[in-house]
Amino acid sequence: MKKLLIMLVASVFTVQLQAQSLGGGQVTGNFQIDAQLSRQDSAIGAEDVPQKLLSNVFANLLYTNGGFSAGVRFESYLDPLLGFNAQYKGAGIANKFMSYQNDMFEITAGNFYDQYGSGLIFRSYEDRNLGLDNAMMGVNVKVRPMDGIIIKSMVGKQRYYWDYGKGLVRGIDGEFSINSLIKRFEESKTRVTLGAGFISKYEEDQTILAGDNYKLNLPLNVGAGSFRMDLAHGNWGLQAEYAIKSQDPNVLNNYIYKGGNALFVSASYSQKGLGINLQAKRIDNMGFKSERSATGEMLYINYIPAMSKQHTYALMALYPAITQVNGEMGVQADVTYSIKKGTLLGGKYGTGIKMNFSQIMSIDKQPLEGYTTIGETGTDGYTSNFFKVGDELYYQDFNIEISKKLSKAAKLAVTYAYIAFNPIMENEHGDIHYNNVFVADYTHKLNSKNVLRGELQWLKSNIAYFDEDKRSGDWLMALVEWNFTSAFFLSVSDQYNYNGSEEHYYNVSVGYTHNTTRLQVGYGKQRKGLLCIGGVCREVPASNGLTISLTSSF
Amino acid sequence: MKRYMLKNVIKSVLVATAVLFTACDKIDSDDYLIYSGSNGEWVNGSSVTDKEQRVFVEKYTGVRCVNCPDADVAISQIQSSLGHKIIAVSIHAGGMARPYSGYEDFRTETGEAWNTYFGIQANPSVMVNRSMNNGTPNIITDVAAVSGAVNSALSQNGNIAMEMTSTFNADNGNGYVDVSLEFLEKVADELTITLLVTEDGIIGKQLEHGGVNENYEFNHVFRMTITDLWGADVVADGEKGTCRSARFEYSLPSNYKAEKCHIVGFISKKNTREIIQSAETSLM
Amino acid sequence: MKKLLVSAFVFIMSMGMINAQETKSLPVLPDNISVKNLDGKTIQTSEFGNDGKPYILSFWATWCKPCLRELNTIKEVYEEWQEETGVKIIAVSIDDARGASRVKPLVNGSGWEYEVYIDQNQDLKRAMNVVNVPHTFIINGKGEIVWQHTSFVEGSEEELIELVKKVMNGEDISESK
Repeated sequence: MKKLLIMLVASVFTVQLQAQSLGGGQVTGNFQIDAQLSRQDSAIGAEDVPQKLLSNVFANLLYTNGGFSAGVRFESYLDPLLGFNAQYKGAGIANKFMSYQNDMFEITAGNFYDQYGSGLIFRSYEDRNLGLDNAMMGVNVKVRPMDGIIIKSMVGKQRYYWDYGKGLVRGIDGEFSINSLIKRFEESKTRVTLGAGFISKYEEDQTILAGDNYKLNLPLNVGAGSFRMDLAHGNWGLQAEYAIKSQDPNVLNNYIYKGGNALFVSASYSQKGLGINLQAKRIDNMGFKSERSATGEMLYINYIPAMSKQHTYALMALYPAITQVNGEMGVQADVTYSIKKGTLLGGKYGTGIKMNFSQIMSIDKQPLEGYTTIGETGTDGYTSNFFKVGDELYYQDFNIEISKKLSKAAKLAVTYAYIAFNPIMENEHGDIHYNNVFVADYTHKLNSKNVLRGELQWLKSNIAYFDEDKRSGDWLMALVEWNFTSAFFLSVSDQYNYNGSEEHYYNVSVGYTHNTTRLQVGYGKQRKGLLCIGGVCREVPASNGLTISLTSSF
Repeated sequence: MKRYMLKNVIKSVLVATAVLFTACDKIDSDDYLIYSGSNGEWVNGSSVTDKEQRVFVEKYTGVRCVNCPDADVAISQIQSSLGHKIIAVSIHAGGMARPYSGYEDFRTETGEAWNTYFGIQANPSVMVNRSMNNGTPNIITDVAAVSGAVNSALSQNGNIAMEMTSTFNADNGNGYVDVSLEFLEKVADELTITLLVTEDGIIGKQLEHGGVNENYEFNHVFRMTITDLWGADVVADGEKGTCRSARFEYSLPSNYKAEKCHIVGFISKKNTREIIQSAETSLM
Repeated sequence: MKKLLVSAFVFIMSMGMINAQETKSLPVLPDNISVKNLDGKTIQTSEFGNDGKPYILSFWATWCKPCLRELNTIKEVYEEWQEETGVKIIAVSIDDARGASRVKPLVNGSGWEYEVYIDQNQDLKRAMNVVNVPHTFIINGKGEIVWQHTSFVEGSEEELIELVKKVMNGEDISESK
């Protein structure tokens, strides 16, 4: 492995030197600086920050020259912003790679990000806002032997803060475009793409006790495979992926030996002015990490997104769906419709309607024969009827958004959502929260340079306020934003937790953008809660103070 | 040409896939568990130099128990005045030990079993030497009463001297404890020895009077037993002057920080489960 | 091993820096990144183009409100723009598995006439140093990045088309706001 890497570096190096003599190459990059000053505020639970100033810094440098590219990323967390894992503390080169590619093949040595299909068995990715980075460290090869075939193969370890996970991850994936491969389908209106991937994780043995005097006989190699297809025929589309995982006793599934499986199906129809998408998924015991005893959000080999709309309005995102890797079944329907201008409902400028419904349930789980409980360590855990829906509702969301241009200068979007949220998704017990959320979002263009925007949001919950959950109770929010061209903005907002903590979470922020450089300064209170992106969440503690964010790319 | 290449590609993919597919282990359901028992065999030993009487103080606690940090304060105060005569173990069990989302679960099967057996109703609950009163365990829920109970336990001599030495291999996580006992007076009761591992300095989230503390330091956290949860039999005649020793092997799960771990051992009466002597040594 | 990697890298970087200073050329669009079109077909970025005319490359996501506002605002003037300047918009979605299958219905349902691609693994996003969306580029007929900007507010579409016109006239806009 080491030798191979050195050889690769050497060969890439030679190629590079040749390319150099042809001249040129370019260096690009980007950086992001986030700084935070927070002070104690016992009313919202913000703790004292003895360091006073916290900062996260990222700087990427990328060099490309023809088919050759190389990059480094510097990261510094001195000390990490509130809510980021303390293990990030430190500074250094967190990511480095070299890559060479031509029409037929591509090889990357060092850190890389990739995914097989939709990611049910493998996805290494980065989300800075979540403080999550699953970058692989190793070698990734992609071969395109002919038009319509892509074969990928990789080996490596996953990033774990400033270290690497214990597991060695290996994978191979193939994707075949039938239309490119079979001549008589070349011009067919039906486009078919098939794919299959396989991942194997090796991890050394360790002692996991099961009751007294027994330890687990652990599988050192865990495999996962998936098959997928993507069909498109004119306005119609169908995508499906099915994945299975071999015995993988790990801390997420309480060390059971049952295999895992996952199915994801999506069908869509769209024409100009109308788009419909229906999705269904079933996940059973698919928590797949490169370290069997690792908890937390790091070291996931695969990625299973939540099957619900990702809300962006603050109060609609208050209770987000969180993926249950140990088992969930979900459906989602999504409709986008544009009413033509000049019609009765469309008015002078047309009207946009978006509707979305999602429901996520538990899966059926029955104790094994001779057992009374589910998921006992060192057993097959449970049995599950694939087609039976579980009894427990995890999440339900119906939302509709109507957006309308009222005049040449004014736009209005109103959104309503009904969101049912089961705290079991956050590992908490308690009644299901049923929330009604209303949002009005109004934009007014005063002249070619000045734009005003306002939001009013209202959340009405059925659950009375309780101190353990700072979200509980009802909420009102107002926001006013003034933009002077796209260069400058000022926004003022307040979130008021009435029938609850009676706390006001006010915020003032100003931003300045010049081309790709953006400076934003905010002052205010941040509620303690979860920040969730794609069904993956991070706990954010309460804070009260100043945040400064500077991003730039060149 | 194209066709020839395609054939080769498919062939190599098939070979590679076949190789990878063998890279997933299948374990038969009969073989999920491996016996890892390590009850030692007792042999004649030599005299024990450390003849101190010590007291075993166990606290049943939970991360969601607002009063539990008070018990930590009380016990560490007693420790600072009485030193190593006090052997503290913190057992996370019961409803209030339910972990906060994203934080480690300190509960153990053994801890829950003890919690149920002794009938712990509230947190914090403290037991000193698992002493009994008319057949029911003495459970102290008032932290102010712990100090008195410790003093009275210290005044009773169990008549056994106990010493432990620990050997640990950090490379593979395997270790063993050598236990030496000396009967200072005749002991008529049948005895058992229980060995367990505790860990110090774990940072986690704990409910306190002022709200949740995400940087709470947990000490003496009960992790696992090396023996069975009710101990291994002490094979000895119990006559004054008898010296016995035994070695107990174990494997430490890699998620426990060995350098922060201690091994705690105690001798209890088999019939009442009351503890008459205890000892502690750092694992590394 | 680590040292070797790092030193090799530093060497290459420094050579690259020197060269970049000498030539002072505009950065070009990476031409060998794979993205998918809405029918699931893999397309190389070398196929991006607008018959020698400039085009607008905009990164967006289904969950990004300002992105949707930008693309919806431009929708209303897009026909006009095309007639006037022949400019084309390539909209690259960075949605992951959660949103990717909603991209096509959303694009059609919203009535967008843009060329849309999905960059699910965010290879293009990384290669073009995009940190946040929306991030909009103007690429000239030679495939060079002549201008880029993050964020959107109503009215900035007018600045955008003015810049495109300047590019068509061969003006240097690299210092424009």
